[in-house]
Amino acid sequence: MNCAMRRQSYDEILRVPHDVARIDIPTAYADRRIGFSVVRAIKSKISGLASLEDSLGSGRLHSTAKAELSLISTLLARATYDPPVGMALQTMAAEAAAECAWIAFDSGQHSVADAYYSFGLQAANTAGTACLKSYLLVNLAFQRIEIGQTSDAFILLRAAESAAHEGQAVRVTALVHAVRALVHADWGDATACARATDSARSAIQRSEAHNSTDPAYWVTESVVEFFAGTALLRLGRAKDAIGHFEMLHSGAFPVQRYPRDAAIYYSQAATAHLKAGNFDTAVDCADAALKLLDYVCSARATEAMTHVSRALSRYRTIIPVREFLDRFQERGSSP
Amino acid sequence: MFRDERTVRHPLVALRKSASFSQPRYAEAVAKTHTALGFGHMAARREKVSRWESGRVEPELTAQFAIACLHHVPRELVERLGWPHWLHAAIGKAPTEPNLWTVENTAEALRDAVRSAQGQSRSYLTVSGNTLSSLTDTVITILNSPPVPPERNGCRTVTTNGTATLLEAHITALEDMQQQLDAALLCQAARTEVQLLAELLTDTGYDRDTGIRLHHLAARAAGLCAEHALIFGDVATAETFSVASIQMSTMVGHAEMAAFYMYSLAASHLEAGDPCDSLHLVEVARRAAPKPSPCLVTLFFAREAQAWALLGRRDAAARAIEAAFASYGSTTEAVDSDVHLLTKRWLTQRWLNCVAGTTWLSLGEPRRALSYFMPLSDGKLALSADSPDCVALELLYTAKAYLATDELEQAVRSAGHAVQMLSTLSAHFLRQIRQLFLPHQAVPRVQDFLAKLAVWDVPGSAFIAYPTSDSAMARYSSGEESCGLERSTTPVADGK
Repeated sequence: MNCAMRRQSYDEILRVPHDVARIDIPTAYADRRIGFSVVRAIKSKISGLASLEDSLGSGRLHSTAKAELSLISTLLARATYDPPVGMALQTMAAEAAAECAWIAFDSGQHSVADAYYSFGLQAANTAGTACLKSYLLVNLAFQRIEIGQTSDAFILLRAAESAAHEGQAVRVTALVHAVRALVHADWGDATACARATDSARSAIQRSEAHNSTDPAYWVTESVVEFFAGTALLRLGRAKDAIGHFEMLHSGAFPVQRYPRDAAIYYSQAATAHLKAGNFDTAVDCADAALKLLDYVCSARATEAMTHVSRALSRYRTIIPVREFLDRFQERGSSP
Repeated sequence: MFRDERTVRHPLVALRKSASFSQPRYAEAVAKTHTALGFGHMAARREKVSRWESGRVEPELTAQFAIACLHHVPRELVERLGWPHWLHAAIGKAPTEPNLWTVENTAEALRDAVRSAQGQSRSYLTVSGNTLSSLTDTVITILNSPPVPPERNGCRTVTTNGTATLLEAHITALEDMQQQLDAALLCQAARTEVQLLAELLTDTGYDRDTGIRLHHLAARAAGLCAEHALIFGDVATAETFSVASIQMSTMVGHAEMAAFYMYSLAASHLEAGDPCDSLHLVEVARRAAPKPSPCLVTLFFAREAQAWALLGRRDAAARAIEAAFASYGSTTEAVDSDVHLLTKRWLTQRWLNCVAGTTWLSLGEPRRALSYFMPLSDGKLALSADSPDCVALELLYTAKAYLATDELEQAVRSAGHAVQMLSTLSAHFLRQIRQLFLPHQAVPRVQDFLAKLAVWDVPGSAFIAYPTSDSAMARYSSGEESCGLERSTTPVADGK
């Protein structure tokens, strides 16, 4: 990492055309004094949207998420409210933007996601919610890793860690470390990767019981292990990675609640087993992922599945592999 | 009711007007074409066109061919779709065919309704007269032979019962917000829920339980959209959403909810100035739900009271409103009814008082009406649990009652309060205010009020900007200040 990169801030990384996430605020709205009851209702809808996204995947929720953000933006711009309500609305705007960004990212629309992250970070800064700011930054870092921009991701993670510390956001801190492990893995630094994974484990053990209002509610011990497994795969240590995906089978991870995430992790597990030469288990994992795709609409999950099937296609001569590939092809052509 | 004069009920009216014909000229043109086509002589009478447009009389087939020829519609379409469905095809709208009740068709109707709500909607009701009878017959027929609960197999993606639970929470939250924010702020969120549900219903598989829940949720989301459309004065879109809600509820055999949405559809007909169709809908709704919960009974009587009042039937209206109050007394007994859960936010004594007020107002008894409307306080409005749109409408009716009793000052105050209640003035709401005060525009106080409202006109906009400060409007409506409606170029958000 050079000095020039160290000086770079996340503001510079996020130079995106803001009009991508432009919210069309009807010019007519004005003057309605709103209170915390409205904020509570909005919070309930955003939490519900996040749960829906976990369940359905991102594909069908673009308009719904945008409508939520549009409502909040309209209220922020045109309604009348007391300062505490205004702060709470800014927080809601940041949360809604995080949801919009995640949905765009999961659908493969990275530039749109960037714009929402930028919008969300502005709102989180205005609201002074360090936890949300950190959450947005770590999600953005994760997105950068997915497109191979690990240096940017590293800078974003530093900012995220600092904000998470300020906001005493334990689950977000765990996520920061887990994602950092991926960066180190991509750089081939096994020691730093292991250190980051250990830090993620320590952080998640300090976290309190599940709280659906925490934006990082989905970060659990299982998720930290899946990230660790993914990092090991990236380091080329497939055999070591296998054990980290065991929670998929043990019931520790709620597969039905997070079918999209489970599909992606099953795909990773399949890849790990394939690289380790366990063809039957690789096919079992790929099959599990394929079945979960029935429940979700997610470009990332589909891409992960395609990646596995492409890797498997090199072993077409093995009967279980061939049968799986036929099932995969059949699904691709079904309505 | 504040009838919007621009609302045209029958598609033939739209078709005739699109060709710039008056009724007499149209009668002549149809008669001439009739003869030219070799169908023989036909009397060219304006009354004939008027009867066709009322929806109660169907033209002879040869007359329909003449009309079709006039508008370049192939005979085949006339024969295949029947009256008045082919008229919709002639003016570029999909025909309403109540007998084709499938998930795909209903979901498409929902999508169509969302599209029309977002764009230029037709200005007439399509489900009126004979078409309405056809719709209600279908409802009763389906409900009498319990439909098979819907399920879909063989789809690539599946919607689970868990997802339906999450969607329900989402829609309930939106319904809760109705009491706090006005329709203009919420309509987009409601439309996206409708689109999502339409997509899940047609593009994914589900088991029977989930299918039933998805249908219910689609009906609820469409019901919200219908309410919003009605608030904006868009009766046609409200009709489409209400019909979709009726279809969704009927298809899963939920008679009480189907009856509730028929009650909702009756509102579009009242708004369009057709109390007879409104009464017909309530009558069929009673048949559809033979053992309705008390809250549904209250709603039926309330709608009947309004319809009878519009027909000038004082005794029937008075009886209906009394029955509504009596039934309302026992509404709390039915806490487990789906309709109760849906209406508990707004079906209150206040709401019923407002219905009574509008009923007496329509019957030409404004003093009696005023005794039911919310009293105007000297200062700020009393806090109300009702939605901003409902309170604003009630205040507008109050203004109308004051005008009818020659209390002009109070009328202006009431209308001012109504404006103050809303974050957005829809073009429809503004038109209602203007319609109300136009006969009194020579009075300086009214002139001043109308002039201030004119400042907010935006040509071609569905919404009209509201003054930047509610205190300015409050001062104005309380009479402290004659001019408080200066337009600001910057938005106000004093919390920031």
